[in-house]
Amino acid sequence: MRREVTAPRPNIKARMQDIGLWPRDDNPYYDETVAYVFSESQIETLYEASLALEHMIGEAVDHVIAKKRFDELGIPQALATYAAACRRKGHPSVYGRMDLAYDGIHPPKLLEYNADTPTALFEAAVLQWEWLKERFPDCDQFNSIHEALIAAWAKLKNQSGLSRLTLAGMLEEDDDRMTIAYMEDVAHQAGWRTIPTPISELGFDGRGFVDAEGVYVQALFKLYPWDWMAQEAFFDRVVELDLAVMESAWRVIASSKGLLPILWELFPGHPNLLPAGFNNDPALGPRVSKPVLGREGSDIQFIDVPGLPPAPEGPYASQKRIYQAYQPLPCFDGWYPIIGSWIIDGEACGVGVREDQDKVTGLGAKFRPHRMEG
Amino acid sequence: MTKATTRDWSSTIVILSLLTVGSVMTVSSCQPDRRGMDTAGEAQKRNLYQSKEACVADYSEEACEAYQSGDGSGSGGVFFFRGPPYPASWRHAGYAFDPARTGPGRAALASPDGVVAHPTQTMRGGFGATGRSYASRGG
Repeated sequence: MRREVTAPRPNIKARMQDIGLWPRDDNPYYDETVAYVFSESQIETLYEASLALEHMIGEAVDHVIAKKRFDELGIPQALATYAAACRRKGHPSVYGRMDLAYDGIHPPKLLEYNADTPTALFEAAVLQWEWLKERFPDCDQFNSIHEALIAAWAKLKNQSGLSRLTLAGMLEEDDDRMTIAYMEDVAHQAGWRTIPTPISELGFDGRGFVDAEGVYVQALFKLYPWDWMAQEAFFDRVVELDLAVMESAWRVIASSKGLLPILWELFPGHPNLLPAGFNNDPALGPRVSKPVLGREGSDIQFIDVPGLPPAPEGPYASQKRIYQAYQPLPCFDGWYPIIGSWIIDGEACGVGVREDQDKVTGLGAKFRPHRMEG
Repeated sequence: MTKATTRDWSSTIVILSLLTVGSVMTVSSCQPDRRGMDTAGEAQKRNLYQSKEACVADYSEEACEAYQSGDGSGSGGVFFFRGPPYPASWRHAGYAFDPARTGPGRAALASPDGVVAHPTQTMRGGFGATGRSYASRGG
């Protein structure tokens, strides 16, 4: 695994301007002036680790349901009951992104699983693939995300017999809008009639949910967390109707950081897991405190980690917390990369690399394309 | 495990159009009728269907009404069924976040409990409040 400076495509600015991704400050988040290079065996390692983690997470989710450990995950009762029912019915999952610490030498370690509302999808599935084909056409990339998504949506369509997919999210947010536009594209290619709708425009007419056009919602892809939905007026209607929603409600269990200590309980010492617990135990050594349902790195605190002072409080500060052994990210030329491993329909399908000059991957992070060699 | 060397590039073309214009082309058996305006002057649309069955697939039976296109004289037009009106604003104008809007959907009337009633008896705004709250706090 190495970081290399490369010449970006000459047309990249125009390409990104075309799709609305070039920022006014000329400092784009997707930045191919640098790329990561992995060996085939390193990609194999990431693939195997992702599959092993997906399997363990599935077992941990079933354990939480069987033992009713929802409180530890910060999941309110009404949502817990519905999530458990969805899991028992075998509701499928389309996609999720595991964040892994990996230095190319030691086993990848799971930092968290974005199983409910993952973003950074388009750059991983499309932009870095375009880069590979133009800049390194003879190389390969661990990336079948695009094809796997189309296959997943086609499978869902065949299994459900439904034809119309409403895609809802906070469309005023760039991340949400881009992810929904891309998800709409792959679902459309899979044969769905797709209708994007701002989540606040979803309606209920007494019989069913309607989209912004007033058309009944058959199936809903929502880029809006279940734990937020459960606090809001329409949640009870979703439960009553048992609306087909992707990701399904049980994904909130997989997504809660409260699952990290449970994973460590169930699989102690597994090479792809970090020690974690529900108590601020000094025996963990340098450790990271995470709100169970926090997002985007907000309210993560480092304890006994030299050089990382307390972070300011954010909107999730009051949540229940878990404590995970601190895993330093590798450092390449002063940058700290984190691996996003994409799981589509239960299969590990590709990775994306984000890197930051801060030890905590935050808003200043860059997405870098990757390629394989050897 | 890794990607094959061939790839369906057509998808990239589709996504370009989606991301650039911020709007969507839906593939539908129905056609939007964009001529209507509500009493407040906001653009309204209604979906037109070639059969009642097609309309009922999208709406309740009561919401589907027979409709004859043309000059209103009742002769020479084409018969359709049409669904209820809905606001055309967010898609046609290109959806833009209105920072002054802290309540629920724009096509809605607020009620005391924060849930809202659409003029066509559809409740809207039942999702979105938590996200706006976190967004305003930097979450």
